[in-house]
Amino acid sequence: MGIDFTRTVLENQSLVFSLALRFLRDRAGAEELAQDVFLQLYRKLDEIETPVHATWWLRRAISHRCIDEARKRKLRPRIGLDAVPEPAVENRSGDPLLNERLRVLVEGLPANARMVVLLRYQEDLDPTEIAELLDMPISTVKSHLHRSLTALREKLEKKEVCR
Amino acid sequence: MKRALILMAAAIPALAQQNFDFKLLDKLGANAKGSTNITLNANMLKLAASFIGDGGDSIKSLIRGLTGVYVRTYEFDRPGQYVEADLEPLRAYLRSGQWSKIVDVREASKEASEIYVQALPNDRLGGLVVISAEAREVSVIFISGVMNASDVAKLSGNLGIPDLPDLPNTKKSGK
Amino acid sequence: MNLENELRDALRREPAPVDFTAKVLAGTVVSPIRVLPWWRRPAALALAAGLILGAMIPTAIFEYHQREERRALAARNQLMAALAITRTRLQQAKARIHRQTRHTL
Repeated sequence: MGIDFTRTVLENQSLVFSLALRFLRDRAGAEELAQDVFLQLYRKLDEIETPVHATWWLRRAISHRCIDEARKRKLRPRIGLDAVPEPAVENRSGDPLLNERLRVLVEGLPANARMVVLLRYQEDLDPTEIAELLDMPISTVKSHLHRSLTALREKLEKKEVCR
Repeated sequence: MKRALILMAAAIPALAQQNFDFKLLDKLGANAKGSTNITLNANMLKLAASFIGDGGDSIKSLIRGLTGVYVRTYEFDRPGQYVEADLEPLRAYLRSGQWSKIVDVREASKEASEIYVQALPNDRLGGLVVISAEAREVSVIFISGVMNASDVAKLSGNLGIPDLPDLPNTKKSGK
Repeated sequence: MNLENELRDALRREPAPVDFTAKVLAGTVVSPIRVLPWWRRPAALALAAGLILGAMIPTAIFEYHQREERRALAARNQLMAALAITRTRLQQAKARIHRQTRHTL
């Protein structure tokens, strides 16, 4: 019949918060946006049929809200490895410095490309799913992915610091 | 970095009434930029139980014997905005009662966790207190009343409530 | 270096703040409907109070039950939030114990 809202929050809070955090690189802003999206869901709870539907709805909502927020803020690319929010998760695998550098570089991508990259590599969605979520042609999604990877690779190889 | 996370849980069946005055922790949150305050007495827990639907049997079983659930979490802008001494009223309370400290871990990063229980026969707990301290966050959880240790462990399935560390007189339940 | 794997690692999900659920649930609590006592109603309505009293009583009872339902729902949401925070803190304690144990060994 319907879904349990509390359980939906618990099961999806990392997804929603993390997408917002990785996109905005602003912990407080990400938390506020993420909470707002859940409250949006709460108001539309009678339209949500299953937990899978809820997850889909939340991914879509936070993606669009992040892109809108970026436009409002007219975010400019972050510069260098300056102070960034501390990651809360301990014991990450891989090189922490490289991870942080990648996160900074991803933040420097244009808003739509940034969200495509996040949905691909944080959420592990395929281009078809990303296209559906963002109301974007598949060809555009693939183009964003290709160009973003090329740009990231070039910047990593050059060890370039944008200013 | 300072850490302070206080988690209190106290529960004592019959004897274990929650009589810790949380106002004594007000100093802890004096400089907090944000806080979470949850206070559920026995009546509120009964009300809450009436709205737990199908699939919540573990939770209903857990809260059946509870007399109170209290959570205080304080977040700070930067380290150093609370002191360990602000937790002393709570620790003094726990030392004076029938509490056993079953977890006391402190890391080099100065994050710390303490867990206190009142162990009862037949795999039951008379209360649970968790204190968690970090540089910019302090948490206190205080659960009073009687609960089955196995019910608490089972919650790690549905709600992601984790297995508790090994408790005295308890068996570890499977997930 | 496999950039895609590195991206997956770097962009792994970040956990939400420990009280995130509590804050969301707190935002769902609706203010109770306020019903004016009869003596504060306009005089014209007050004149008719006796006539409509029979119809008002079921409405008042209905509104009482609605308020109680909202209270119960808010209490449930708070309970779930409290349990979620408890879970998180217990998980942290467990992780800290494991790290210390590994370090000792």
